[in-house]
Amino acid sequence: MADGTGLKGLIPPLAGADFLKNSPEAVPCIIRAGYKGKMTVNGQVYETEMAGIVKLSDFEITNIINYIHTAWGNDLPIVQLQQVREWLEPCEKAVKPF
Amino acid sequence: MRGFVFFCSLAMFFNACQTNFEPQALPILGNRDVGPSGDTIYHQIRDFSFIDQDSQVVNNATFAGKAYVADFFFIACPTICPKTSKQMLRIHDHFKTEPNLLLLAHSVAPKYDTVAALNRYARNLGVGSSKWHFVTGEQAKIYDIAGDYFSIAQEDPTAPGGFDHSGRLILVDKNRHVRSFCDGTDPEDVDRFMRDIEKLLNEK
Repeated sequence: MADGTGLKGLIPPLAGADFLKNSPEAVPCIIRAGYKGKMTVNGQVYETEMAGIVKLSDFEITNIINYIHTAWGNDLPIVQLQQVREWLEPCEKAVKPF
Repeated sequence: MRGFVFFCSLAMFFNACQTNFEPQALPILGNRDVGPSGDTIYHQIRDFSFIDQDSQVVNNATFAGKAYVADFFFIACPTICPKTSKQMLRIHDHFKTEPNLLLLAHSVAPKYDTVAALNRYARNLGVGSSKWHFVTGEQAKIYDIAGDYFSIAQEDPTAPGGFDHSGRLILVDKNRHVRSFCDGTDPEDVDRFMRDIEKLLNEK
């Protein structure tokens, strides 16, 4: 959502999410390839599937992460393009939701 | 200058007049026809029958004597659905104790959004089928009825998530007439829409 709060038990928040702090290396691949299965954020379990956005470049993903890291009161480190590229290396081929 | 002053007083006069008018009733939207006896035939939501998140049949009778807000969505929708669902939730919460208003969300991806999937979705949203029905059914029937709600729903492999649909929220009265709609991704438009809902519920 526009304010980073997510949506009840459906969509986890980005604002104040411990997931961003604890697993930054997982984030680039989630943006690109989506996510399926359970995810725990701030102690709550979420299971709504998220579609990836395949067309985003490494550079765009880096910008998005840095936005998320600093928006809505978040105060997480700025990441560099090279770091994001390393995190993206093991990323599976982007999946479609169907 | 004198002309300007005159114009201003004229404008004030009309503004003053306007505040004395009764708030206008909501219109009945859609194409009209003239029946054999000369009566106006208004656009109506057709007969339908779908299945909701608790495996209950949801049809026109479900909304007998009540108004409802309808929309189209699908669970894995990556684009507008989270926004429209958030606005639907706002409406849900605002009219929680209002027995004459229900909500009806149609899945445009019924082959994936099974009863079990919709049940989990509603549960995670914290809402129940006594107020908010999430329905699945025959895809063609859902796509056809979208037109009655001035909405589109279609399968489109090139659309994000594989399905394309509009994000409108549509207000239907107890006579199956569409009385108002809004852009479900725009919170301000939804504010206006909620005032329309109040207006409809206050109709005699």
